[in-house]
Amino acid sequence: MGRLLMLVAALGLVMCNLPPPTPPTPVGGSDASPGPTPGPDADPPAPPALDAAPGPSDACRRSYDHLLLIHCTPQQPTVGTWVDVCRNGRQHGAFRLDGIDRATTPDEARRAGVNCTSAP
Amino acid sequence: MKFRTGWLPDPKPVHRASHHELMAAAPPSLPTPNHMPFRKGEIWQASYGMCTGESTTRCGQLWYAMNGVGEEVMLSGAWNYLMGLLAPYDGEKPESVPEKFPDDGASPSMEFQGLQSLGLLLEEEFPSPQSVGFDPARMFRAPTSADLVEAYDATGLQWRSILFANTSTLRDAIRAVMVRRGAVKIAMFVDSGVMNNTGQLVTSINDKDSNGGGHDITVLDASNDGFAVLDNWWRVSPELAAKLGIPVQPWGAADGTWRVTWECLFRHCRQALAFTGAPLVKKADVQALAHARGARGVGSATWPYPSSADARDVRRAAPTTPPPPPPPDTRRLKGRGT
Repeated sequence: MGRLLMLVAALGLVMCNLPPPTPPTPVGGSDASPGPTPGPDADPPAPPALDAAPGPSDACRRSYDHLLLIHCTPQQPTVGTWVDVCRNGRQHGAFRLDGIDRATTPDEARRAGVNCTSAP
Repeated sequence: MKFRTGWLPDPKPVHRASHHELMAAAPPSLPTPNHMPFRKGEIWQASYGMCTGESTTRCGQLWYAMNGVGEEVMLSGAWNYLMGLLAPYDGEKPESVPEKFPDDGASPSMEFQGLQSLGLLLEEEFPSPQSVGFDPARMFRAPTSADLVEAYDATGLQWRSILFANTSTLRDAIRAVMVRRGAVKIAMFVDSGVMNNTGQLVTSINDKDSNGGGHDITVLDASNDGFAVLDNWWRVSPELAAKLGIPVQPWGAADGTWRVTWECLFRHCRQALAFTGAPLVKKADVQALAHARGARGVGSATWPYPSSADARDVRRAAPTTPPPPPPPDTRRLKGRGT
């Protein structure tokens, strides 16, 4: 009886020390090079850029969505997107968005300097 | 007539590479530092202080021609100038940038930097004073998103600062850039004597001339040991004057150039820049024009107005030219030059 109790206790001890289960690899991710394991004092990983705090990029995305909402699909560059142009321009003092954000019709968007390609 | 303020000193430090790196990276590829054979297309700045923009237009036209992309690829001088006016606000919130800019001139290096970041436009996309459709209000207004989208396909202009310490190092540096198929622009002081020059060799410039001012100008020929030949976009040919409905203004030599001694150029040169690479801009007009007119060799071209025909009209007017090739891809491709 005593030996049985010791066996059960030892088995429980071993089970408590088992490593936690490995989380599944996210879809589209790669586990080929996991990289160094962060230490206990390491900062938490940065969130994806799209989830970053509000900044110029978000302003461009919001303005683009606003244009689509008022049925103005702005002309895209050959390489990249309208939002890319907006972000690049705003880094260099260009690409005002106040007039675009105020527009409520494609005509008003055009008057704000947007080349609407899909609007009537 | 008082000379307008053309180029301005850099309002804040501008990061720049030097022409020394160009010399180390590329061997000479032209026999002489003479770009006159590649000069095409008339440029006219009217009464605006946009010499920096027009100088960039000529630099670009020379670069595209020398690198075999097209004989008459005319960048918009008005857009160039607008980028120079906007560049001092780089990094600021666009809504705080003035909606209208004054016609007070621009810093050549900041203009290059602005074009590098925001891209190039062609003359037909953003007309300058030499073209029908020029709108001065558009040139002095903050760029629209539509124009920025068009220009975005042609970001990445490459340019360098030309370093010099005396007359001979200035001449040698300019030559070193030009034989490597780079174009050179110079920001200098000119007096009323230069402004009214009708072809005489310029040997001195009066710094105290109250009618003088800053001018930004492209070097066309540096092959002569005695003087440099500079472009001049104050003169209007009879053909262009008739097209625009303006009087002919016969400034400069008959071929629209100034000749300035190297010593004089050094004494009044405030800044020298090299246009060393541009995004590839493919336009149907450029390709068709090049095919219709045939490839021109060095030394075969002169000031492009031997007759009343505008260079752009040659393709339409000549009945004996072979049929144009199939329409090329009109997309504007990003790329790097030398």
